[in-house]
Amino acid sequence: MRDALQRAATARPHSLTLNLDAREVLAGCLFLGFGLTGLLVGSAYASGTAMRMGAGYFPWLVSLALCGLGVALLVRGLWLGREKVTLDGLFIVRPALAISASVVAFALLLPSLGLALATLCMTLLSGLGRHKAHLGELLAVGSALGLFSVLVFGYGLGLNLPAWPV
Amino acid sequence: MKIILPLKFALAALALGVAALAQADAYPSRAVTLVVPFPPGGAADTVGRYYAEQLSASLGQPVVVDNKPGAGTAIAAEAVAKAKPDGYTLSLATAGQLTILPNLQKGLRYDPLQDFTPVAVLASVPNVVAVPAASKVDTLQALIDQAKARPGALSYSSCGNGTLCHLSGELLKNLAGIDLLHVPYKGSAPAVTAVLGGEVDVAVDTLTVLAPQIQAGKLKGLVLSSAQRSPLLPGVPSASEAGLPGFEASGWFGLVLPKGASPQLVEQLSAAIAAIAQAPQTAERFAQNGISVEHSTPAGFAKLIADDGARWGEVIRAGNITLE
Amino acid sequence: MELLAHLGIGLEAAFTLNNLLYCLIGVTLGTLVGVLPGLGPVATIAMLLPITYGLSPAAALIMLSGIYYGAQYGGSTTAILVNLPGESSSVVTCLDGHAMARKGRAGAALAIAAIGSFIAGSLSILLLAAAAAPLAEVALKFGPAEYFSLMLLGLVAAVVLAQGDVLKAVAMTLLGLLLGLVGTDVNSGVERFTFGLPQLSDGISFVVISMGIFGIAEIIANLERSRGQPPQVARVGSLMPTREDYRRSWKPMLRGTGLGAVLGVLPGGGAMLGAFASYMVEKRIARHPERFGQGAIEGVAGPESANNAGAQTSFIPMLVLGLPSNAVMALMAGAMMIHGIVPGPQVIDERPELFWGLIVSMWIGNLLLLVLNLPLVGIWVRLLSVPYRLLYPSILLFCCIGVYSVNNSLFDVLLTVAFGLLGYLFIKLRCEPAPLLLGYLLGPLMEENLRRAMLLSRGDPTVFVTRPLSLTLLILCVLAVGLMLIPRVRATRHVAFSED
Repeated sequence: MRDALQRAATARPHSLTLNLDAREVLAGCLFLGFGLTGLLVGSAYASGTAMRMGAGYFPWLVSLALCGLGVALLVRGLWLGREKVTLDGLFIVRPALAISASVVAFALLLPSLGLALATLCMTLLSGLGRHKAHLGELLAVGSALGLFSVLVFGYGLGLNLPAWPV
Repeated sequence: MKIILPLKFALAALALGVAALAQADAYPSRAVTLVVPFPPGGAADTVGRYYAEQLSASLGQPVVVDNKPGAGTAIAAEAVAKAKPDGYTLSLATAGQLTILPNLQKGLRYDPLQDFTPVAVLASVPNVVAVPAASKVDTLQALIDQAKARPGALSYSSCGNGTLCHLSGELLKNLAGIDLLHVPYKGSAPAVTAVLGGEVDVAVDTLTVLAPQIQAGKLKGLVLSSAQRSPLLPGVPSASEAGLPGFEASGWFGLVLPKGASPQLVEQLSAAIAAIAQAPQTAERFAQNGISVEHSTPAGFAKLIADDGARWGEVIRAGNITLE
Repeated sequence: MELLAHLGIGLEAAFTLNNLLYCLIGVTLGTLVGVLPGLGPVATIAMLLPITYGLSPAAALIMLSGIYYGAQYGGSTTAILVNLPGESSSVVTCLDGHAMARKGRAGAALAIAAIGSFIAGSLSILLLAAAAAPLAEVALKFGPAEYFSLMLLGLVAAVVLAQGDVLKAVAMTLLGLLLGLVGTDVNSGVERFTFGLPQLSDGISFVVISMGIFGIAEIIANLERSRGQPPQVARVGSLMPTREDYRRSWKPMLRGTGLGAVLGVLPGGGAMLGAFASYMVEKRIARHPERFGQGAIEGVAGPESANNAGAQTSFIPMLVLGLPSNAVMALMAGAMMIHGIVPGPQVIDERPELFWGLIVSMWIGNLLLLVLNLPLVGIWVRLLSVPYRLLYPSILLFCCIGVYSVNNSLFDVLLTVAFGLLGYLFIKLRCEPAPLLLGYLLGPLMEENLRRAMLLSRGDPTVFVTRPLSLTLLILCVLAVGLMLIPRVRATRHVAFSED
């Protein structure tokens, strides 16, 4: 991220060119999406009066403002872009996928396999997020962490979590 | 927020699932869980823990408190409604949970009259109507007069929308024929703070919460929502003494089982509770918190639930109270 | 004179072997749960509450309060080392604390955080001893109008906190506000934005958002950025702060203490506002505000002092009035009830040894924490030299256990993953997460008080400007916005002139 920041810093605007900044556009869409969802879902709640504001008043206000900012970001990204940014290579799927999978696996396995084994599985899956992973190293880290978590969280802090397979 | 129990308790709870298959010869043959629908530390938890401790002694098996707060008791109520009626899951239940919420909340996933087997009422707490020490109002009649002179100008704070504090305030309005502005807060502490700071004119909350403030001279108690005075606040008149008979609205804590519990089981627990309720140290334990120990038969408790439910239903319809 | 006599009672009560021991246990446990992200003092105290049955009331309160302020010390460690705020109050510490760590100055940041916390703790305990009752009156003077204006100021602070684009920071704050509204509405009792899911009826928990948006998102971004190589952490220089660090830090510490101590008295969110307010003040008055976010030591010293000062003074409403101001204090009041003490205004007079013993023990606890934390700095810093490929699975594990243990719920973990992916998106789109978290924390309080103020004023919005305290806060908001815009105007003018 530091590299990216430096690049951004050196690429300060010198002239107003019409560049499409995909980052701004995407951010604009994202906020607009949240704002619209807020308006849509929030429309079911009573808006009330100035004295007795209903449950819908504040969400409506916030959602509307969020929509406005989303549009502002969209406009800025589409027409007032300070630098040209495309989506090519902006997102890399592998780490996101591996990390998400490892966390979900941990939660799914914990009740049946216990803390130690769930930790091991999580570590192995999270290793896939890196380009080249050493299986041996991951096994070692996973076992050590599994033992650590059983000792600290299971016995030490007495959390209500099964330590070993049930 | 779910409370994490120490490991040994966790193991005991786990054992529940495993041992459910084995036929128990004499109840109880293993640890019993008492679900408390509030976080540790409040009045409900204090009552629950005391009875759990006493029941452990009389049943001869550990009775473990499991705090399951959330969604205004609905989370605990749903969990208990779905549990096996084998006596290994007991639950503390409050007046609000069994008599108010069903009248207010649509889409409730439990039925207070059908999904639980009432065992006994354990304790009750009356509410108090209080004003700041600096207020010109000294009696309930003075408050009613002032409210009648300026309808809607006075406000009262409650510990939340649709709570017993709120409905007691509405009951006061109905019986006295006055209009007060209801201002809900998130729990008792901020509601009382608002009255102490003069933000709101009147406080309606439990004796447990208001007694220390009245004793310390920060608030003046106008009426107790009960037929008798409380030894904790001898200077505060009862409902009829204050000229408002019928202003009786106590919060209570009871013990329930999931529906379908066998009559023998209910009888056994009811007898155990009766013995605890009659022990002098029980009343002593709760006296300083303004909680009075109660006891009733299972049928009496069922009637209380039905009667209170009908009464609060009326107040809710009269006050046009909704959660919307 | 009276104060000395009282402190005498306190010293006598606190300096028993038993109470000292429970104080040590409390602060050690507090540091531990503070360091472990996701496990907070609320869960820990709730878990230990029944166990304190067997202790004396003084020992129980001393231990439980030790957990609370001990966690404030511990929370900053994780924030600085791995950019993971386990507590709402350490969100701000992440900004400059972690930036310092990346520059190889983790030792200095950790040490300044501990020293600042100690100084703030000591001063605010003195304040607590000398002026608890008048301070409690301050809490009572704060009505809903004042709260609303204070929350507004907090939101302005959220935007000031942001390093980058103002437009995005405002949008993130608003999104945070919206996320904070999920759950049951206090004023009406209706469930909002829960999509019919009962798991959402109490709102999205802080741990879920923070572990997702900070913890998991950061790991994903780091892995992708480094392509398997650990991110560069500069070589560790001096472990301890330099003289220059101390020179820069002492004023922020004192200012932070003042802000934290006053805001800490206010019920509901006061303690956490202190850190944000302190950061905003330091960034505003700094000669080079652009240093903030890049590892400015003032950005650690001020907020960390404010945190701990607020943690100490948040005891005031509970101890003086018997009215707990947050979840931790509610549990402390519960601990008193378990021991047959009715929390209320009479506790100070009826049980002076309890009140003054607790106050003296809090100072002892702060001293113990300083002694405990300074030697730990060396160990923590060494953790940073562990290669990232070995470190990230453990961060992931702490996030998972932290989230899972709150409710033992799979749903919470899935929600955390969703926030992790959202957070990753935010990193890629250069939207900073800190304003979102602040919006999330302040949103519900802001709405609640706005509605209450309007209800009490019978729909008259002038209530916000006719009450002097509220007006003052609103003027501060306007000033903060103005000050934020002026340097920009000046900067653009400067650029314009230089291009001429």
